[in-house]
Amino acid sequence: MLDILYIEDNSDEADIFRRLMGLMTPSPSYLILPSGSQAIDYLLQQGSYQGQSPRLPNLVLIDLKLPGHSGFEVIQQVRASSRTRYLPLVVYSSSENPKDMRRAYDLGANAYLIKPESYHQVSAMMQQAVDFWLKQSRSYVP
Amino acid sequence: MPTINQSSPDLLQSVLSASQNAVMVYQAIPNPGGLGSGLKLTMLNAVAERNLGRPATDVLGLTFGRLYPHLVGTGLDERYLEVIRTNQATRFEFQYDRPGQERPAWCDVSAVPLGENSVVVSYNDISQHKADADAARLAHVLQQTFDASFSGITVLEAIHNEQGQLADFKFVMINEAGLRMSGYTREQLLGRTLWEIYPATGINGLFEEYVQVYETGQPIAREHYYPEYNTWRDIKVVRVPQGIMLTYNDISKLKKSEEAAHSQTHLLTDLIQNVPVRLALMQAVRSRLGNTSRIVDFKITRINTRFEQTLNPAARQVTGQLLTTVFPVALASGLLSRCILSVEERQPLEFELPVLVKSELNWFKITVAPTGNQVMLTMTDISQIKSTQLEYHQQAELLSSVLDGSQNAIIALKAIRQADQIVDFAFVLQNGVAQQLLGLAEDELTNHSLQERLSGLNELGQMDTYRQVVATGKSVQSEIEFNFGKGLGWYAISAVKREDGIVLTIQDKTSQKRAEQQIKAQAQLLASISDNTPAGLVLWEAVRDESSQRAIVDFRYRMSNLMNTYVTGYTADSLVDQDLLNLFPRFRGSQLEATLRETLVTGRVQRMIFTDYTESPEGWFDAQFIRVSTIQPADGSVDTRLVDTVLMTYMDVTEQHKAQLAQKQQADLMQLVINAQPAGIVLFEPLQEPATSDQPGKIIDFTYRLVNETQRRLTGRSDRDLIGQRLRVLFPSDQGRELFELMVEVIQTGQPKVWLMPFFSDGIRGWFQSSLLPHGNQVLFTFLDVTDLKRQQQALEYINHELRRSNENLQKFAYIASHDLQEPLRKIQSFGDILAKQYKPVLDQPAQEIIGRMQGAAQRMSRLIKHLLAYSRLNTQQLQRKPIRLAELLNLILDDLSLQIEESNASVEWGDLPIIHGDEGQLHQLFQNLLSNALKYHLPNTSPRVQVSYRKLLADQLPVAIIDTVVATSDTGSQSVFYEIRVSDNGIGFDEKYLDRIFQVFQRLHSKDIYPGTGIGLAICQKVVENHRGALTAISQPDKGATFLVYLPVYES
Repeated sequence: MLDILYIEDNSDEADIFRRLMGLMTPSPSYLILPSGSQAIDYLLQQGSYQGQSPRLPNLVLIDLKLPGHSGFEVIQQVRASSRTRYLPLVVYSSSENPKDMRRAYDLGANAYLIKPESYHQVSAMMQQAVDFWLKQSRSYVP
Repeated sequence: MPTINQSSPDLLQSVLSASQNAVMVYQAIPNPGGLGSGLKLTMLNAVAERNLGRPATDVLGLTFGRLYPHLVGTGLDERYLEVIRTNQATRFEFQYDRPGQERPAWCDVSAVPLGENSVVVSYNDISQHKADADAARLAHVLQQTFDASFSGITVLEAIHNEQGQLADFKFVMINEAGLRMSGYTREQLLGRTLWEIYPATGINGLFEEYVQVYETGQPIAREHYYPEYNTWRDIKVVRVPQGIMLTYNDISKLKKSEEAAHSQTHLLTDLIQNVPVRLALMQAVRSRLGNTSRIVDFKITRINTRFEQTLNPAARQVTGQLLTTVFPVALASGLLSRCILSVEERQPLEFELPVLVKSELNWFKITVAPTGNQVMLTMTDISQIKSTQLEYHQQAELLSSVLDGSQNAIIALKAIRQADQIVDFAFVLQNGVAQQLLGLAEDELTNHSLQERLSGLNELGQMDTYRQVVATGKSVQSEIEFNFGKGLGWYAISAVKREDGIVLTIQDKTSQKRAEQQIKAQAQLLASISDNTPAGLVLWEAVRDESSQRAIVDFRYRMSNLMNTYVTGYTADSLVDQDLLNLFPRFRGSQLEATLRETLVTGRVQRMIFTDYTESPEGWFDAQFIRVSTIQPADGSVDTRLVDTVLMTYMDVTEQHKAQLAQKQQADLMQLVINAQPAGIVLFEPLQEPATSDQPGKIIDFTYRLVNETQRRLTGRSDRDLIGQRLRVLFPSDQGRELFELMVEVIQTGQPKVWLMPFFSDGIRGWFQSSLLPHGNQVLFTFLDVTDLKRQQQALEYINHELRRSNENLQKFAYIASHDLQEPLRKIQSFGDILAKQYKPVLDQPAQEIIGRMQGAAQRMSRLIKHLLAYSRLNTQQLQRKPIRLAELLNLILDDLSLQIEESNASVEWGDLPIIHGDEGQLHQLFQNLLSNALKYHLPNTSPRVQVSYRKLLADQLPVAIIDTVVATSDTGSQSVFYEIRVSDNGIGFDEKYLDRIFQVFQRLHSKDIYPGTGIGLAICQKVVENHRGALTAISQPDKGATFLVYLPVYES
């Protein structure tokens, strides 16, 4: 069982995420993929993941600015596939632009989190979000 | 007692003694001058004795003057003497001042003569009566006032019972208004008690209140409702001696309208409470950082119980609290950001969200509807629906994964019946292979029927078959040729009954079937080719050497048909198995050899006309060469010898050619004329498929019939290369095809066409002003090379485009730059926080301080970037114009600046201010920055005084410095009108030589340490007025305050 798929190309950001997950009890299992294209392949079991049936996460955290396919494209494609139609997708971006927010929600994101400035805020928000969305996702596992 | 009257002294004495009045007897003192000039007391009774306060023995015989020294000169003694002298009794009221008494005394005096020289004086003190009369007069005036009052006034006197307790009140006074309001007459009320008249006062609490006022002396004022009269009274109760006074007014009318409003509010509350959804009203809470204001949270202003219990089942104090306080996952769940988005974009939102209710996850459908700065949030529980939906999804996923494992396409269909007859089938499910086969995504099929999507199946009788399967339950296998959407193919279909429908399993047999068909077709082709064609046919096989390159050295005849024998004179037997170059050495190095090689090497179809095929020189042959690679004989075996062969088919065109020659001579003259034209001219003739009985054949190409010199120069081809050639062969590109299609259109419609044609393929690069003219069955194509002209035009367009792009880039630059700058900064802050928190024990004090300073610097930079971001957004934001009351806007801004105003003890004043038109957010920024600056840059020890005023100006009255920066004339051509809004302060001011600099980004006139700031504020102001087609300038002197002048065009409606 995989708890979180985190799509993030920035290694600093990924490092902070790893620290935070390590501090949570129990520590959620996670996978970090550095590009939108890889994430799409992973979630839709295509490309290099074809035929491998990789574990579907309980929660997908997406940065918007990604190399290759952007976070928006990930949301769009993940929502279009019936396998991942109800997968919780949470955008985690530094953009406060209402246009980005609107677009993410229109494409089917479940929540939009703006990256806070301080580590303390990041920590609080991330733990809360992970807690909340994992709880909701796990409650519907057959 | 001495004797005065001998007749009845005892009787007199007893009368005197019994009298309630004081009685005194005076005797005139005789003197030589006649009547006595004085009086002497000769007798008095006990009352008089008491009045005088002296025993009778002390006062008898004393003169009047001695007795009443304070009455000497009042004429009283004279009046007694008068009685004696005239012998007539008198009675009068006498007023005199009593020593030591404030008020004058009044006596009722009667004086009766007694004998010849005495007077009996009887008097009664009537001072009290006199005072009462005065009081009565005053009381009358009061009574009038009392009665004239519009308020009802009642005076109640306290009644105590035997135990001394206050038991009731008695009506002692009531005025006219009071009577009117009570409906009683005065007689019915006065003397009666409160309990008798108004027994309800004992129940409704009024009596207790009256008692309280009476006992404490504390007045009470309240509104009271008398349900028995459906009346509201405003009552004041005050303590008066012996009782209380009530003053009351009828306020029923006022109260009832208040009540109506109240009941409406009540209705609304009821409505909110009773709707079957969770409902809350929330007010946006904004945070201002520098120039930007953004919503950070919401305050709950109203909420129904249903919702309240969802959020906080334990305590009911949700109203007034922040959303994030009562609903801690508002942020993480995205609810907060959606609410923010809704307010910012002024658009309602609807979405689904899981919410934890009593530690159970429930799904809600949530709507967020913004009104101004508020949102209405409604939540409807959809847990049941959602749970079913998710369960169904999981089951379907499971099934899908099973189905997707299959190599065959599987489609489940459900019968659609009308009057019990199956009319169609609906798609229920299909696997991935089926999706690929049909080329349709899952959601494209759902809710569609077989007929709609694959109507062709019906024509193949498949629908009937499927109906049979459903009816009989017997599975059916069939093989059909069908186009599922990706071209015609062969499929084996098995249909199995499933419930009231079928499951189709489709296996693609196309490639297998196609191979079979090919073998058959090729065998037939071969047979027909050999004899029945009017064209000459020769099949050669390459003869290759033994080298590693396997170079072609000759071409061995494999086949030759009758036509070839007729043309060349050689029979098939004499040619087959002979080598071409060996048998006819003249072909060595010829065009034929070259073409054969070319065909074998490239596999491309070649075409040539050759005149040297036969030994006699007169023949013209139009030949086509095709590489034939995998022809299989009809018996199904593979003839490997045929994989390296070329088939030549040719027509004898000698006769046609001769005719052409003659025509050409005639045409030459015309060519000469045409060649002189600067435009290229070509006459094309359509090449058509054979006509069917009723329709002309389809045009498949055009051949060159005529070209002029310009065309030759342009294409670099000679006439020989062109005439008779096919357009699409020479110009096989897409653009060539487009030209071909246009020509077909011109032929078909008969309408000429003129257009500018770009042509950048097939060796031609340029722009052509082109025209197509129908000419009988032919098309005349003329074109003028306008490439140079077009290039110039394009260059111009390109430069324009570049200019625009670079402009846009410049605008985006700040936005992107600042956005990207924020990223690494966040990392500095995050890692700094980690250092400061997690590594605190191993860091010494100086190290911790350094981290602190680092964090501070990062924070400053963050603010700087945010301001820059706000500035750059002004370039890209669309203005949302609306009328704005400037005074209201300023009030809003003062709220934000209240801390700054308090700290500096500042005053901000304005008089009448106009309604301006513009973007509220931007104008807020503009005036907030100006006011904030005016407050910030104040002189030390001086409280800032800021004034805002305005006036209207015509464009030509604007200051010279800015007159060129605004649009001076309106759309109607008249002079534009501007509002000049002045923001003046008494602050440090500035030297006007720096006027230009203060409006530029990052320009500061003062040290950051003294006056903090990012240096973007005024640049933002400048941008805002520019966006509003206005202007901004300032006038100032150092230490003498500054006045900023904002010019905004007056909106013409």
